[in-house]
Amino acid sequence: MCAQFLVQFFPVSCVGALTTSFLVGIGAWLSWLVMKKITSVKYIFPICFLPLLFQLIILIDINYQYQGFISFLFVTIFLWVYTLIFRRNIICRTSLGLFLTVTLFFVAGPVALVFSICIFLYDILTKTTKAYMTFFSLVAIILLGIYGIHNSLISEYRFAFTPDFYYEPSFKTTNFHYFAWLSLPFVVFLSFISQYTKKANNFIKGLLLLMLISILSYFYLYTSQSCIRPSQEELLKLDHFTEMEQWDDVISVCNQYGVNNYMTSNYLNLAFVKKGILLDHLFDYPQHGPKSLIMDNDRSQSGTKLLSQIYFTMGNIAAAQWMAFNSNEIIQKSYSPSMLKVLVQTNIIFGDYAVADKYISILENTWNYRKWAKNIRKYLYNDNAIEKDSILGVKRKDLPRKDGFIIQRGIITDLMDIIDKNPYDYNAIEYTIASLLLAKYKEGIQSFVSKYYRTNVLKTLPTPLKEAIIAFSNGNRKYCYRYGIKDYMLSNYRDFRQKTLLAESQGTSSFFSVKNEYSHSYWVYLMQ
Amino acid sequence: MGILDAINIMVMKRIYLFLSFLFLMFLVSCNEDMKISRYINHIIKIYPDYTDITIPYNIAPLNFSINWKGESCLILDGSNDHFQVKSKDGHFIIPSSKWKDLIKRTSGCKIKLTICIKKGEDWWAYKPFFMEVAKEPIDKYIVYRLIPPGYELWNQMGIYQRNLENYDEIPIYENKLSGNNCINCHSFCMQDPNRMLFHARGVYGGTFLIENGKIERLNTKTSKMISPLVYPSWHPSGKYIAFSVNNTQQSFHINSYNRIEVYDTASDVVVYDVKNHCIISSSLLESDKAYETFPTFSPCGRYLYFCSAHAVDSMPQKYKDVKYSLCKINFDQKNHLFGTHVDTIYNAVKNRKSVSFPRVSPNGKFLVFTLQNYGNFSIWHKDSDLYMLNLINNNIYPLVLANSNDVESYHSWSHNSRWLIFSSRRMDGLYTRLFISYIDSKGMAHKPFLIPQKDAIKYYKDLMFSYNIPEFVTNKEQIKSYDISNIMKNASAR
Repeated sequence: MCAQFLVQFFPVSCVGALTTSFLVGIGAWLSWLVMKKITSVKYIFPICFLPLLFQLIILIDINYQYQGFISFLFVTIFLWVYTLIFRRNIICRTSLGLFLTVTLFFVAGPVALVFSICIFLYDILTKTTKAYMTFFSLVAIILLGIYGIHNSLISEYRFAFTPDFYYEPSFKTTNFHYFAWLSLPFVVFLSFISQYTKKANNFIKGLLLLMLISILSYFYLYTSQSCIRPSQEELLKLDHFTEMEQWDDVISVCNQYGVNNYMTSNYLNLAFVKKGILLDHLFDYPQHGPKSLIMDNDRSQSGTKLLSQIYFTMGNIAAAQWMAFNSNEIIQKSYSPSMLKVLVQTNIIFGDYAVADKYISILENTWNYRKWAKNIRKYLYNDNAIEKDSILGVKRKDLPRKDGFIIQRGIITDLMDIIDKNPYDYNAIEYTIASLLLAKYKEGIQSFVSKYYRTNVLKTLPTPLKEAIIAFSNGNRKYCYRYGIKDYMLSNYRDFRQKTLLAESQGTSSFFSVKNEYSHSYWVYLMQ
Repeated sequence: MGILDAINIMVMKRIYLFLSFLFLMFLVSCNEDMKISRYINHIIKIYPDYTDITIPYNIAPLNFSINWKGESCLILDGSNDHFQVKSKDGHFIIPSSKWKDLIKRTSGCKIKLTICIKKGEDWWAYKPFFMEVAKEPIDKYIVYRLIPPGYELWNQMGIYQRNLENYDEIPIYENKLSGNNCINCHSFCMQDPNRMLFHARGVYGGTFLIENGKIERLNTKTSKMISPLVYPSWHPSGKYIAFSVNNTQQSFHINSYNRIEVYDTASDVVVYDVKNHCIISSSLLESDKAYETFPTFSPCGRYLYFCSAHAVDSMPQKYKDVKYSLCKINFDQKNHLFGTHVDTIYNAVKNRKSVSFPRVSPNGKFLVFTLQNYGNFSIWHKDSDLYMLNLINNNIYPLVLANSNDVESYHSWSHNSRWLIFSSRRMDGLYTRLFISYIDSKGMAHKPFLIPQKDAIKYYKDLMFSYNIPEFVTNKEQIKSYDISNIMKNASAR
C-alpha cells in the first residue's frame, strides 16, 4: 500500500529519485542509531548506508517491486523501535520482539525474517539478559510461514521466506538479492566487531575503513552487474518517455543505446510517427521488416504495453484495447495507469461508456492521473464532444466499416481498412506506407499509390515511396512520371544500379562503400 | 378491462397511497427526530436496483445506496415489525440481525421500504417500494470463478464460495497455489458440496475429482478424443459425468458490439464412468458432421440433453452460420447404453437461433437455456437471453423479467428449483455480475436481484474480475486448498 502510494508520484521528474534517496537516508540513519547502541566506534558510520544502498541497486531490476525496498525500510524502523524500549524486562522485551516480528510479517512480508535475525543477533551481541528468548521471534516467523502455506494464504515457501515475494513471481531472485537482505545482520555484526578496534590509532582505523569500503565496493559493483543490465535501463527509460509522450527523449535514448532489437525499433518508429516524421527517417536506422514497426505478440508487461500504444496510434482500436487489457493482467495485484488510460479511450471510442466510467473512477483515485480522468469524463455519453476531439474523434473515425477478427488478415490489410475509412489519420497513413515498404510488398505499393495518389492519403509521394516506385518499376520513366518523380531521382537510381553492378564484380569492400553512400535510401534496404 | 374497473383501480391505488402515507406518518411520529414535511410521488433511484424484487427469507441484507450526500433514512416495514436505518452519505447498511428477523417473519408477504432524505431541517419521503419475501429458502452457498474478463492472459483467478446469508467469500482454490495456471469448469453433483470436480490446465493440468474429501487427479486426454474433458454435468447418481470435448478457439472482433468470439472447430459429447474410469460414447454424440457440446443430465438420470450444430467447412469465416439445436438422447445407466435416436427439442435451423447451457431444474419440470443469434459461447453475445422450456407441456418462452439488453448467460438452479442464479453483463457491458431470480410454480422468472454486498457500489466498482460459472451448493465446501495444490503438484494422474 505504502509503496503503491509513493510510486504514483514517480512519473514527475526527479520525484522518484529524491523520495528514494530520502528514504535511504532515513533507513541509514536508523541503522546508525542501532549500531551506536552496539559500538561507540564512529568511523564505521558509512557502513550504515550499505543495506539500503543494496536495495537501491536492486530497484534498477525491472522485476523487483518498490514494495521490497519499502519493506526493508520498515525493518530498520522496527529494529530501531526494538532497541529503544523494554530493554530490561525480559517478558516485555520478548513480547515486543514477537509483536514487532509478527506485525512486520503481516505488514511487509518475509523481510520479517531479516528482522528476527537482526534482533536475535543484537540481543546476543549486546549481551542482553536471556538473549536466547529472542529466538522465539525467529521460530514465530517460521511457524507463521508454514501456517500460511498450509492454509493457502501463501502459495510457496519461497514467497514465505525469501526476497522472491517482492519479485516477479515467474522469475527467481539472484544471490545478490539474498546478500542485500543479509547485509543488515552483517552490519549489526560488523558494529560489534568494530569495538575491538577502539584502541587502535587513527591510521589503523582509517586503513581498516578503507579496506572495508574497498572490499564492499568491489563486491557491490561486481555482484550488482547481475541487476544493472543496459537493456533494462534502456527499456525503463523508453517506457517512461513513451508514457510521458516525450518523443525527442525516446529518440535520443535509441541513439544512445543503439537500435539492435525489434522492441527498441518499435519505440523509435512510434516516436517518429508521433512527430509525423517516420517516412523522413525510416531508413536512417536499421529496419528488419514490418516487425521493426510492430513486433510479434509479446507476453511481457512492457511488450504488451508498447504494442497497445502502437495499435492505438495505428488506429487499430480493438487491438489496442486487447493489448492494454492483457498488459494489465500481467501486472501482479495492480494495474498500469497508462493502460487504464488506453482502456478508457478505447471504450469511449467504441461507445462502451459504462465500463469506461469504471476505469475513470479508478484513475480519479490516483494523484497523477486524477486531472486527466476528470477531464475525459466529459466525453462519456457525449458523441458530439468525442467527434470534435483531436484524438478520440480521429480514432473513432478509424473504426472499420466491416467487422472481422484482429490481426487475422495481417497488419497491412487492417491498416488499409483504417485509412480507407479515415483518410485523415496521418499516423495510420505513415504506418501503412512504412509497413508496405518494409514488407517489400511490390504489388501492395503499386496498388496503394495507384489508389491513393493525389488523394488526401497521398497528396505527394514521400521520398522512400518514390524510391520504391522507381525500384519496383526498374526505373520506368513513363510510370514514374505519373507519380511526380523527377529526372534527377531516376538518374540517381541509374547511378546506384551501375555502382552496385560494378561493386558486385569488384568484391566486398566496394559493395560496402556503395551501401554507405546510399545508406539512407530504400534501395539499400531492398538489397538486404 | 372496463372503464369502471380502471376507475376502481385508480381509486384503490390512491387509497392505498394515502394509507401508506398515514402509516408512514405514524412511524415517523414515533421518532422525534423525523417529521416528514413533504411526500414525493416517485421512487428514488437506488443502486443496486432492488425495487420490486422477490427475495428468499435467508438472504444477507440487501444494502444499497442513493445518490444523496446528506442525511437520509430508510424505513423497513414488514408484516409484524419495522425499523429504520439512517445514513449520512446515502449508503444504507442494514443491520443483519434486524434484517434477518424482519424477512423471516415476512416470509410469504412483502416488505415495504421507504426512503426519506433530509433537506435543511425538513424530511422528504419518497414513494415506497416493495420486496416480496418468498416462502422458499435459497441454497446457502454459491460457488463461482473470478477471472479477468479478457480470457487470454491472466495472473490471478480462483474458484470461490460465497455464503449468501452473509457476505463471506472464501477461496476453494486459487491459481496462485499452482503457478498461476488456468482452473475452470467447476461442477457439483445435485448441489452437493461433497461431490465436486474442476479442471486445471497448463503445468499441473488434469481433472480434479473431489468426493467426500478425497481428491483424485485424472488425465482425461486420450488418443481417441479431440481434447481432454471440458464442460461437465454430473449424473444424479454421482456415478457418471457427461462431458463435452472441444477444440475451442478465440478471436477478437475489430468492430463489433461483441468484443470476443469463442467458437469450436470440433466437439463431441462423452460420458465418464467415475467408478471404472472409462469413457462411454455413442456415434450419435461423436459425429464429424456436427458439433455436440454442453451436455446436461435430467434429474431422473434417464435423459441426456445437449446442444448440437451442423459442422461448417471453414472456421472462423463461417462462425455466424453455426447454430446449436437443443437435443435429447436416452441414457441407460445400468447397461452403459445410449438411445438409438436423438430428439431435437429446439430446432436452431428452423428458428434461426442458437442454444447454449441447457440446465434442468432439480424437480424435472423446467429447463432453462440461453438463446442467441449464433454460436455457443453466449457470455460474449449481447443478444443472448435466458429462455425456459416447460418440460410438461414443451412450451418455450423467454424469461422476460430476468433478461436485459446485455448478455445473460451461465445459470444454475437451487436444489428446490425455486431460485435461478445467472451471470449478466448488464451493469457495465463487460464485467459479469451475478443475479438471482425467483422462479414461481408456473415457471415464470421474477425480477432478479444482484447478489448483495456490504457496500455494493464500492465493491462492484472496484472489482476488476468477472463472475464465471455460478453454481448453487447446499452447504460449505470443506476441502482445503492446500490439499488440492498438493495433489495437483505431486500426485500422478489416473
